[in-house]
Amino acid sequence: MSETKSSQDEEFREFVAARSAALHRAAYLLTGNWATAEDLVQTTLTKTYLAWGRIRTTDSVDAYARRILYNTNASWWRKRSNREKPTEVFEDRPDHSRDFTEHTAMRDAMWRHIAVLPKRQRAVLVLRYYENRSDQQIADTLGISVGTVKSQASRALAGMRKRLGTPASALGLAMEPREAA
Amino acid sequence: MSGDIESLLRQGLADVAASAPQNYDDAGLAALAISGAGRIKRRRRIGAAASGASLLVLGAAVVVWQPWMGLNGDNGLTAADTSTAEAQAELSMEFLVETDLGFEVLNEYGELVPLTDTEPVQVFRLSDSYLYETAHDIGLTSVDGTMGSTIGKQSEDTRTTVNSAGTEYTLATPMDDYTTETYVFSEGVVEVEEALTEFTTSYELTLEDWTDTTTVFTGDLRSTTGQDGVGTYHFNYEMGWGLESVSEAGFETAVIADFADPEFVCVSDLNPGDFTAPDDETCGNLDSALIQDALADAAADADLVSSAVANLRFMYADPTEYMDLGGYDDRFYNVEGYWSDPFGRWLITGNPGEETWLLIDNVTGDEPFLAELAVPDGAVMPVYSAS
Repeated sequence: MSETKSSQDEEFREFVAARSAALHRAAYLLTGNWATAEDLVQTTLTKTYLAWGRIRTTDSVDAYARRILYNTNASWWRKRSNREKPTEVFEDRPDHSRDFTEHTAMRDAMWRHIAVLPKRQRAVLVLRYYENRSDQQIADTLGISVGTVKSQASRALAGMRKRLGTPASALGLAMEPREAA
Repeated sequence: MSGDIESLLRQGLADVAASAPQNYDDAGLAALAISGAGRIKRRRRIGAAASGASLLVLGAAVVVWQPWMGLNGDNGLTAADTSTAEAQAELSMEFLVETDLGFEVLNEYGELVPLTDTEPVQVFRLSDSYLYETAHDIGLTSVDGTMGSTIGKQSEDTRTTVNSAGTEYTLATPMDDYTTETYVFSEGVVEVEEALTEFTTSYELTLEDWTDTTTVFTGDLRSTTGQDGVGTYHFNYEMGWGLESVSEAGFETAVIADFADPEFVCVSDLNPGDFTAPDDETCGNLDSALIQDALADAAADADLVSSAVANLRFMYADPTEYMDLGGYDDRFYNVEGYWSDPFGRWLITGNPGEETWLLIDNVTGDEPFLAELAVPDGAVMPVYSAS
C-alpha cells in the first residue's frame, strides 16, 4: 500500500469514528429500522470513500456524506416501497419519567405519522427538527429549492397537526421559536 | 410557525434518535467501506474496458436528441444522448467550468467569461449579467466579463432569486426566528448598485417570480380552504402574511399559489398608493372566471401568473412522480450535484469530473424525458438561465 493511500485511509477512519454515530442516528430516523439504518450508513460510507480523494481536503466532507445518506435512502425507498413497510413504532428503551405513558403515546402517534410520509417530507423533517439545519442547508443537502423545503415541511406539519391536534399542553412542552442552525 | 408541533417533533425525534442502538464498530465500518469501494472501482474498470466499443458508437451518435431510445437488457430503458451544444441551443444552457484562471462561464458561443476565484454555489444568467453566489458573497459580472462587483451576504441563510424576465434579482434573508423573510430587489446590471425596493413577508410564503406590477408566491392554501374552497378568505389578516409590505414596495397584485396544487391560487388586489393590502383574498382555480376576473380587476400580469403556475407544477414534484427513471434511479440520485432549473425547464444530476450527467428535459418534447448530457471539460455545474 502506498504511503499516500495509507494516509488517506487513516483520515477516512478518523472521519468514520467522528461521524458514524450521527449518521447512524439520522439513518435510524429516516428508515425506522436499525438493520436498514446500518445498511444505509455502510453504503453511505462506501460511496463517501469512493469520492474521498476528491473531497478529503475540502470543508464539505460531512455535507457530502449527509447528502449521500439522504439521497441513497430516497433511492432505496423508491425501490423497496412496493414490498416493505416502514416500522411503525420504534424499539424503545425504558422511560421512567412520570409522563411516560402519555409521552410515549404521543411520540408513537407522531412517529406513525412520520413513518407514512413521502420520503422527501420525512427527510426535510429530520434535517430541520433533528439536525437543526436551516432551510438553505436542507435545500443544499437534498438538491432542492428553499421553496420546496418550506412546502414539504409545511405539508408534513399540516398533516401532523390535523392528526395530533395540539399536543403541547399534554406533553408539557412550551412554545418556542425555531432555532437558527 | 406551528410551535407546538415543532416542539413535539424536536423532542420526539431526539428521543427516538437517543433510543437507537449503538452497537456498531467504527473500525469495521471503515474497513468494509474501503474494501467495498475497492470492489466497486474494479467493477467499474472492467465495465469501462468491456464497453469501450459501444461508448465510441454513442459518442458518434451524440447528435441524436430524442426521448428514451432502445432497450437495455437490465432495465428496459436507456437514456438518449445530448451534446453540450444541444443543451446550449435547446435549453439556453451554459456551464460553469473550473480552469487555471478560476471559475468561468462557458457561454453559448464557446467563450469563457471569468467570474471568480471562489467556487460558486450557483450561477444565474440574467439579461445583462451573470449573478453568482458563493458561501459568503453575491457577485455580479457583465456578460462579457469586463466588469464586476461583489457584496457580502447578510447571513448564511441569504439566498438569491431571479425573475423570469432576467432583469432583476432579490436577496432573500429570513429573520432569526424564521417567522418572516425580507426580499431586497436589485437590477441585474453591474453599474447599478442601489436596491430598487424591498418587502418583508411571512416565512410561510415564498416569492417565485415577479414583474413591475405583480408578485407570485407559493404557500399553503389547501390546508385552510380544503379541496373545494373557492371564494373569499382572510389569509393576510389571519395568518399575518405581510402583503401590506408588498403593497408598500409598489406592487399592485400578489398572487399566492398553493404549493401542492399550484393551479389553486389566491389573488390580493394591493393598494400601492396607500401602502395597504385588503383583508380578504379571492381564491379559486386559475382558469376559473372568478380568478380571471380578480386578476383583471387587480391589473395583474396574467401572463406571468400563468407561466409561473405552469412552472411550479414541475418544480415541486419529485421526478419519480411524473416519470420512470428505469435503471438510472441510483445514478440520478446518488450524486454530488443536483441542479433544478428555477423555472422548471430541466433537472440535472451528476458528479464533477464525469463526462456525462443525467438530464430531465421538460422543454423539448411533449412529455419530460431523460437524457445523458455530455458536459464540457472541467464542468462544475450548469448555469441557471432566466429566459
